[in-house]
Amino acid sequence: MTYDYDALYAKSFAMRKRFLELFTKLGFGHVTSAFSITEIVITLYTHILRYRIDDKDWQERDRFVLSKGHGAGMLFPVFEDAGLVSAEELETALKIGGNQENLLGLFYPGFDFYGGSLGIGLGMAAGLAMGAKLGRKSWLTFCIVGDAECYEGAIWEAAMFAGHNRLNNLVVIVDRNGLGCSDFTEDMLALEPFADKWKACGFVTKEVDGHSYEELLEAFSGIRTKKNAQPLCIIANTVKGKGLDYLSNIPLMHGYMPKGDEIERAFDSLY
Amino acid sequence: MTARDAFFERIVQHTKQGEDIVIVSADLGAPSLDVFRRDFGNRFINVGIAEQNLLSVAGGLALAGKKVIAYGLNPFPVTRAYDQIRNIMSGLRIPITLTALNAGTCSAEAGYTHMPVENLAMLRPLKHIKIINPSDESAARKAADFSVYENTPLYIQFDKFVMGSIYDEDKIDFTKGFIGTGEGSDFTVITYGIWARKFIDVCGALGKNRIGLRVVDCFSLPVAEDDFREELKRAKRIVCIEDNCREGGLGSMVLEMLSDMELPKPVKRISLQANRKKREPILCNRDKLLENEGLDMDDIILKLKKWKGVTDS
Repeated sequence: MTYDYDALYAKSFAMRKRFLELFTKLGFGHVTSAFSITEIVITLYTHILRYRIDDKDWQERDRFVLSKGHGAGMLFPVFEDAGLVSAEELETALKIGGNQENLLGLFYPGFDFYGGSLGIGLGMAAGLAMGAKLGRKSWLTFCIVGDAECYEGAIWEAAMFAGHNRLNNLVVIVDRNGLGCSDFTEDMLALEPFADKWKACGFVTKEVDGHSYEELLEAFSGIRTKKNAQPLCIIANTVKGKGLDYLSNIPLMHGYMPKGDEIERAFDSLY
Repeated sequence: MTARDAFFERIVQHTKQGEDIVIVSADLGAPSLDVFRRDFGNRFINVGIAEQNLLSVAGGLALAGKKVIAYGLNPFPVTRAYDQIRNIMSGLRIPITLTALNAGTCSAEAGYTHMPVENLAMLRPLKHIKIINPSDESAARKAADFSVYENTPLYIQFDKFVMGSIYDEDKIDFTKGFIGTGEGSDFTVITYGIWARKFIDVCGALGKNRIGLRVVDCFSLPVAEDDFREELKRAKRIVCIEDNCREGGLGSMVLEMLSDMELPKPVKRISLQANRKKREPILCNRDKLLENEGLDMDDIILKLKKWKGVTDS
């Protein structure tokens, strides 16, 4: 299958820009976490996830759990771009005192659970995948976890569960940006050998550049037809803050959102 | 039959009748679950001793449309997986029924590690979660019906010594949340679980000794405020009894409600850890622990007599 990679990379820029528009106006958010998963989320919503824009009740849609909820902000520009929400609805919802009723409804395709309390989402995704198996459903469950989220023991409880139960309808994408909140993962508590940990739990692993559509789309290829009985873990090597060099790959920028004069600098620096 | 087994026996009945029930266990079984494991083996999912994953997997299964009973050994599903309960069951209102074996001090012989004496204080502040403490088989069976038919998060804890029936099933109303028994006017004993039967059993004998009791069994929290207000209004002296820590438990709930309702009533709380300096014994059992804490029945009755000013003739 061929893809329009130029259009996808143009979309990356557009989504990051729209994120800045929405969240600098709101005044808070996690820009570096959101920018880290931009290409992963765009890949999912443009080419991988099965959903119907006009039928939120379609039960055969794929499920998607964003366990590292701090990156959730990037979902909104992507929802808008996909036609799942209107610009007006986003502007109304993303403000203090705004109408968030729809956002709380958990009905957006692929927005099945919002994380943020780290470590919870992978088990939820495994439960969804197990539910699909029990119900003989063909939909897949996708879950994005953060690499620093993997310090949570619950991640490994869930990973063991997924491997043991041969949940080959579960795809985990680890946003391996190498940063927690305060420090680099390998400096505070080494995660490596990271892929081996997933393999030991029964996963097939693939390692890709998480900002490369070519590599991401290749990693997702064949996920609906694979014959093995193992869950898949895609370790996506990313840069926290990708798109804004002056914020990229720097500890303690986890909860940062440009304010005041910084806003203009962010827009000017964005690539 | 224990309340736990009465609950699961009814769950098995519902499953046989076609309800899409899945049981997720943190390495815990029950005699009453043997049939479920035999006949619906693929719907008995064992996550191992992993309480956090118990709640997360249960949440995912519930989102996939299953009726999910999560089952673990108290206090661990609450204390170890509190964040999952808080976010999945309370925050997102995902309808999981979390069941847990052990209530209060019923497994005191296993030590403090196995006594869920803080669970009530931990769960009461969480919105949308109904807390059920069956005081008999009937309440346990009705709790099973409630979990299958009501799409709401539930936490049910089973005292392993609660067995037999006190009430007719049709008297169990989880919206009201309590049942009053006895018309004695000296004391209103507000309690739940194993203590309900203990006090209902002694009502008659105490009445002959000029101690009139009304026993209010709060088997489901939160109780309906309007109904409970009437119960509190008629009370002359209130005694809250539980083998839980004093802070945040049933007695705290009663004091909070009296305050909010501006009802001045004399209240005594008889519960655990009144003496915070006392160390828990390493080797103990429930009877000995309750004796140490002033919660054995003879001691409680003496306290009631002293409060009323009754002397043994």
